Amino acid sequence: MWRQILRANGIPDETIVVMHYDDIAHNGANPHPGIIINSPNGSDVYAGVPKDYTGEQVNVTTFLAVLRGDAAAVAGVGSGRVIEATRHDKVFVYYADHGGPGVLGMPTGPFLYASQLVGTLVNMSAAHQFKARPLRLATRVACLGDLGLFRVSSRSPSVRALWAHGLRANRAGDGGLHGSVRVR
Amino acid sequence: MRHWALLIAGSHTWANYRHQADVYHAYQVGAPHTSIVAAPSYTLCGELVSSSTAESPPAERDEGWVLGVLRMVDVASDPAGQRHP
Repeated sequence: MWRQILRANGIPDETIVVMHYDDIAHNGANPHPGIIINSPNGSDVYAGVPKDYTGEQVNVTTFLAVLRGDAAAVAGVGSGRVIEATRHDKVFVYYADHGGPGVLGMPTGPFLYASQLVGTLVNMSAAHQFKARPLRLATRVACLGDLGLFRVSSRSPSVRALWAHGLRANRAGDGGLHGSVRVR
Repeated sequence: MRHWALLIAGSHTWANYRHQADVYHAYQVGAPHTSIVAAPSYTLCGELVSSSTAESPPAERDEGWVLGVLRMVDVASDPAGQRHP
């Protein structure tokens, strides 16, 4: 049923920007070169994925420039595409990585700190770069609600997130917090 | 009104396979040819769905996926924000 619900909300390719290091598909350890799956015996999820920014282009400077729509800052870098949202638009950011209180990882260069991310979002709000819409959600980021923002994470800031596919008790040893930024 | 999506995997190396795989999966289900909105993945399932579940992981990842996507659509399909004052 949820697929039908989602059908009316498709995001077209021209409004999606993808940043990934891109060292997995053709990694020497990949038993199926060029194929990436996301569940046991799953189908390929790699084919067709845009390569807007890859390798060392995946860094804090590029990420924040893309997010705030600063095309000049990424001129000549990757695809050069940025989020060109207006006050009428909605922006969805998905950040998959390790993290910790106040910090998200990056494959190269310094980490992304909460103050940088929140600062960028506050500036975007002031410049009406997305549709301001207060949301009341069960998050710990009340201050952002006034900007029409909401953020979700897999865990509360004080809890380690451990993930393994289809297991109740995780034994994967992954302490990553997917997309969690502490901004209280 | 347009929807934009910025998908990023903030890691590299084979040991972190899952981060890029999650981003690729998010792209695939969000792309127009499958007509499914961008996937917040299981990262949505914690605090958003219910505070009572915030401290315990979902039984299975797919559960979190479905709940997260449904809630995301609820937000996305409510342009006036009336249900989320």
